Amino acid sequence: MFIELDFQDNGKQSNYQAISTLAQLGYDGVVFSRTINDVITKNDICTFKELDLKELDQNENSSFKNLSSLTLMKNEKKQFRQYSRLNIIISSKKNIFLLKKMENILKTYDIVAVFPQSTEIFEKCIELPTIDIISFDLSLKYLIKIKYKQVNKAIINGLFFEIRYSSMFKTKQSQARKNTFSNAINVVKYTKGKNLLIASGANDPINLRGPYDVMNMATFFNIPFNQAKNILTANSESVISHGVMRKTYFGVIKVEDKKKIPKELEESTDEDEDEDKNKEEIEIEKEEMMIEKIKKPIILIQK
Amino acid sequence: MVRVKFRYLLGHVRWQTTTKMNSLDISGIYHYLKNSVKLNFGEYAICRLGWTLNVKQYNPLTGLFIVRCSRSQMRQVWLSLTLLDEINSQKCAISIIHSAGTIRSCNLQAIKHTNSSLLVAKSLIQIKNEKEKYQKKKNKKKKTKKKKNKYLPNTLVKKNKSKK
Repeated sequence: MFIELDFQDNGKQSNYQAISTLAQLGYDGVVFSRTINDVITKNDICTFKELDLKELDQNENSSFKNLSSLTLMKNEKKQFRQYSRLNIIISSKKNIFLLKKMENILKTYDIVAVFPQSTEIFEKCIELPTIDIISFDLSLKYLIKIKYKQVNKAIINGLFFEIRYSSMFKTKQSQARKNTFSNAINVVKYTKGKNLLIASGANDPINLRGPYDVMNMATFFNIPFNQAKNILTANSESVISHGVMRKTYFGVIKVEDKKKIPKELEESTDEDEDEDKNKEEIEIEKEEMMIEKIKKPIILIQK
Repeated sequence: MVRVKFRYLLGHVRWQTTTKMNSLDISGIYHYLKNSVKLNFGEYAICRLGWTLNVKQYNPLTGLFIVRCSRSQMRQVWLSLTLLDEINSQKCAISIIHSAGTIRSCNLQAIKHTNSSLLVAKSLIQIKNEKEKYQKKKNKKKKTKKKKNKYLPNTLVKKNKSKK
């Protein structure tokens, strides 16, 4: 169960090509992301719609010429999962309060990630309950100063740290490749392999690599062999479940759209039941409904 | 008994554009592979590999190739293949499917990999044929069983044999 945790959302056609390459490589799920600088407004509500893959495969007259490899999956019941994600880059101290205030807008996304640009912002992002991931821009020369105590606090709260490997594929800028190696080893040193994630923040589907290639890459970041597979399978699913609990109201109630509920769990309509019953039974039910309404107290409001 | 042991890696090349690269040879891949090992791991890694680095097979139609390397340097050659970006000024991506100790097992795995891509074309045709068959079965009438005639004698009754 491998899941690709970061791929930028550029429209319907590019998303379909990305899904077809990922299914060939061996992944089972995708998270499409979107980036924001500093300020969160009301216009940033999630407008992501899941792609209907069966229709796109069967349309012969469609413009999607690449044959999708979803039929390679042996089980037809297995579906390719799709989620949504927000990336927020914070560079000033004044905009941290927005992460607490705009809670309802952040709840429309499945995963929320933060890119702090200084150590003071990194200290305050640890205690926020509206966040799932803290990640870094690894192509810069000097990384943020990280301390052991702050990282341990974040792990107790349940946050995750992330490494992105898409900045290694810029051959004209060889400095970016050197910086990612040194910074990634630094991140692994402070977290000791706990609550780590590996993702690719890619634009093109060419910069994607298979899951076993990524595991081999992780061994060069000083991650031991046993944890390398756990990072891709178990940790990526725990992030999604962390995002699901973040959406609920203190873990008790959750509100969903009606379209997402499958038909089996929906309540049966009254029309099917009325056909089997006689007319007399319908009248008895109506009388009982009237009696129940009368029993409830009526509240009057005085102005 | 001391024996030099190798590892054979099965790789798959994926291009950005669909233009066919007929000009690419085995020597071309070897040239670019060696440069990427030198870039990422230095000259010491090449000297340690030595004569064991070799490209055995390459198929330009499907994009599969087999690389040989010594057993201790397998992971370094693997990483240098994933970080390979450009070949002949065109962007590409390499993913490795299988690693084995003999060429024969690599070839068997390559057959499975091509069979799965053939299944895509097969399954789409199969689905159409199965739908037509199922609709034909529905339209057929059910065969009626022959009813037994009650007034015929039953000749299959067994007689109780008495012991002598």
